[in-house]
Amino acid sequence: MAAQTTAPTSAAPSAVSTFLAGVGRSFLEIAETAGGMTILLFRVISRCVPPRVDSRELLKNLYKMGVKSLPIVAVTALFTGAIMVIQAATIVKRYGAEGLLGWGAGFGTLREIAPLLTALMISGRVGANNTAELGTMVVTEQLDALRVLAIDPISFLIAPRFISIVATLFMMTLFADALALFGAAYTGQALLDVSPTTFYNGLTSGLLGFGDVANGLFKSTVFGLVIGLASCHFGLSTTGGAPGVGRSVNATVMASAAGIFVLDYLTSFALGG
Amino acid sequence: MIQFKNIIKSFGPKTVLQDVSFDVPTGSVFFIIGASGVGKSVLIKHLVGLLYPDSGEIWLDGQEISRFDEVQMGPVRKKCAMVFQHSTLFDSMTCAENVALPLRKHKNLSLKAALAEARHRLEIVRMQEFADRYPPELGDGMRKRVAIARALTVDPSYVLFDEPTTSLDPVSARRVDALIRELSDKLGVTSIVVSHDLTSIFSIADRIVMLYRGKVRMEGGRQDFKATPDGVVQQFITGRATGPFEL
Amino acid sequence: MTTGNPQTEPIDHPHEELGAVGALGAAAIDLLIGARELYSVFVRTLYYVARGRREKGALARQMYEIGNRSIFFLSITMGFIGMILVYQAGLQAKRVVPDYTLLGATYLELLVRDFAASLGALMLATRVGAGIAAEIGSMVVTEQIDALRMCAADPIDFLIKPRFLASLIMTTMLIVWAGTVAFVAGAFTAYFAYDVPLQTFFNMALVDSGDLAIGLTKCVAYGAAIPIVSGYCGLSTFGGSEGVGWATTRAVVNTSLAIIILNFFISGAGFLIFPA
Repeated sequence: MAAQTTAPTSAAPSAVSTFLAGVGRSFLEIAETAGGMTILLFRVISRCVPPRVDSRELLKNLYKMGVKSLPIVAVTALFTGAIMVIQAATIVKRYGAEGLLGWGAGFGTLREIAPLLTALMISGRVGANNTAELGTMVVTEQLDALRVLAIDPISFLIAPRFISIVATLFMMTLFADALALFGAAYTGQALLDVSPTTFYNGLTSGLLGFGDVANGLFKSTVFGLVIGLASCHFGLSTTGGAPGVGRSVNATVMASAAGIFVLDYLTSFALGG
Repeated sequence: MIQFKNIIKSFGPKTVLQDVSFDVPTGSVFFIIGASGVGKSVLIKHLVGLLYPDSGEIWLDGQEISRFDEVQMGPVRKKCAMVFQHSTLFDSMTCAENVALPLRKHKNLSLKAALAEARHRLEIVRMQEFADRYPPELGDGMRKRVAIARALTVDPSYVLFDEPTTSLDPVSARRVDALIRELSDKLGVTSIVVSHDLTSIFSIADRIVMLYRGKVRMEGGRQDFKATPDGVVQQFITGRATGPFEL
Repeated sequence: MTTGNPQTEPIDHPHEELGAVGALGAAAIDLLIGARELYSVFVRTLYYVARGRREKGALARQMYEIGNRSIFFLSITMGFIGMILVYQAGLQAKRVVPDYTLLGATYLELLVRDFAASLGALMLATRVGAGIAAEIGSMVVTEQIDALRMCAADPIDFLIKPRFLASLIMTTMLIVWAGTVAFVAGAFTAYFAYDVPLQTFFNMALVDSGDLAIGLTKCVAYGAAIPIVSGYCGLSTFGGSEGVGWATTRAVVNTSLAIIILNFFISGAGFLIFPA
């Protein structure tokens, strides 16, 4: 064994220990975020049963979020349906199974892609926006002003937004499912000469059922919870003025994306087909 | 009647308030003065539960409120209203809606009734023409008056003002001073004003307490302050750059 | 509608109501203006790539930023995506024809052709796109961009060009990595969930040069789109300091949208040029 020259212990930490420290710190940050979000969830739920949610704010947010997301969900869904057909087309042509195009493009769309992409787009459009609004209110002391007026910020501000996000995602997924299939059907016709009728027959041929739609909708509800929680949590915990708001928005988008994928996997596994 | 007893408050390693004690007599216009960052805003935020002291007691109308939670603070916040330094109106609502919000929540008024009442209250602060404007469209002085109207909707016995004239032009500042004085004279409200505006201090204050380096340096009326031999106080109230006063 | 009399009208009309058609028209006009400006930014960036100033180390610094910022996040998300895709595909295969021999091969083909690039790019859009927009947006609101212009320097040359080049390179590399992670994750899922032996899964038979071409085109296209779109959103920040938050939001949404639209066109072209 070669003689080892020991590095002085007061030297800079080795790359390995810095890496481990970084991992440990990330882990603690993630745990802190998850914990904060869970606490927020309980506080929001406690305002729902019995209902103590400001109805005007609820309606205002439902309208605002729905209207804001409609165009972007529509575009995403149409293109996504088309893309799904394009991808499935290679396989369909290989096996000559045009009749199965409806099923091939359909199952992926309904169970997985439509809820996933809709959630990602809404996380960007609605979730990030919501964090920016809440964060700005926090740093300009508007949230403190509410508390001083003896108005509960959770009932007035947070719960309506949280509920609106979940509801918006659910409805938008429904809408996206329909539009994606629509886009897929007409792309199928354009590219493979598969008539829309054949497409819809393949869709409902018994290989796909209402269960697949429900599967996708259940996922979208779960995604809505993740986006709502992340968005409100990071908005509320904004510190550090205007740059802090930018950081919170960044954090929301990332946490939502990561949360969506993790929960997508867990739900797929739990619902098991 | 409000009493601060031996308040100590630190943020991390920095102790901002080191044993602050004084009483605020009811019905007066009471000024808390001192340099920026000395802890004046920190102190009054304790009265509405935005901060909690490390140790000490706070008595408001016979109740010790320093350990109250959010639920217990509710009634206290209806007795003690606050006007923030940057007015802090809600940007997504018009002025009328801003004032109407606490009316809807606490007096269970319908939206229509609350808005009508809100316009009436805006008349009192002479802002009724701007009732349907949004806060970002108004100047600082105008926003301040709307914020005062909103604070008064809970019919409080105490109103806290955090540096009400700091960012205002001289005319608006004097108008705000007049409003604060009117509240005390006509409505019997106890006003606690955090400020370092010398003109305000020496025109409307009934009693003044000066904080210096985390402790109470002096307490008294306007004449007491003008006549004191204390070099630190004299430097502050005459606005001189050099002297014993250290930030 | 207003009478137009300057004596009686307030100076600004913050909440003028448009009818439905008016709103639609306004949106269309906004879209066209945006598209034109975006195109202008793209062309100018290309110009500066060819003839702009050369700053030592700027490219390397940006590449490090992009790579360093995203690698952990990308690995985690692509790992989960891989698991999900294979799990779902296996479920469906079980319904139709319970033969898993081509599962790995088909999966790899789809990864190379589309999913690795598109899903990886969507993740990068959130991480890298938001970061670029926030950085440049902060510079706008602190008037650093104005200062640049005073020195007769074009912000596009200084700020967007290095990020553009860095992104072209790093996006491709990161997506190759992402695809690998997704594939390996999928392999293990297939093994644990459906007992597919790893050798069977690691089957490259179905991947041809057409798939590779399409996949690489996507990498380059997305790598170009992310900095251009998010840089543009950063440069068009308005509304003071709060505007940085809005700029970040817009960047994420618009970049994601650009990726989806580019995906459609490239996939479509790919299908027509390289049929199976």
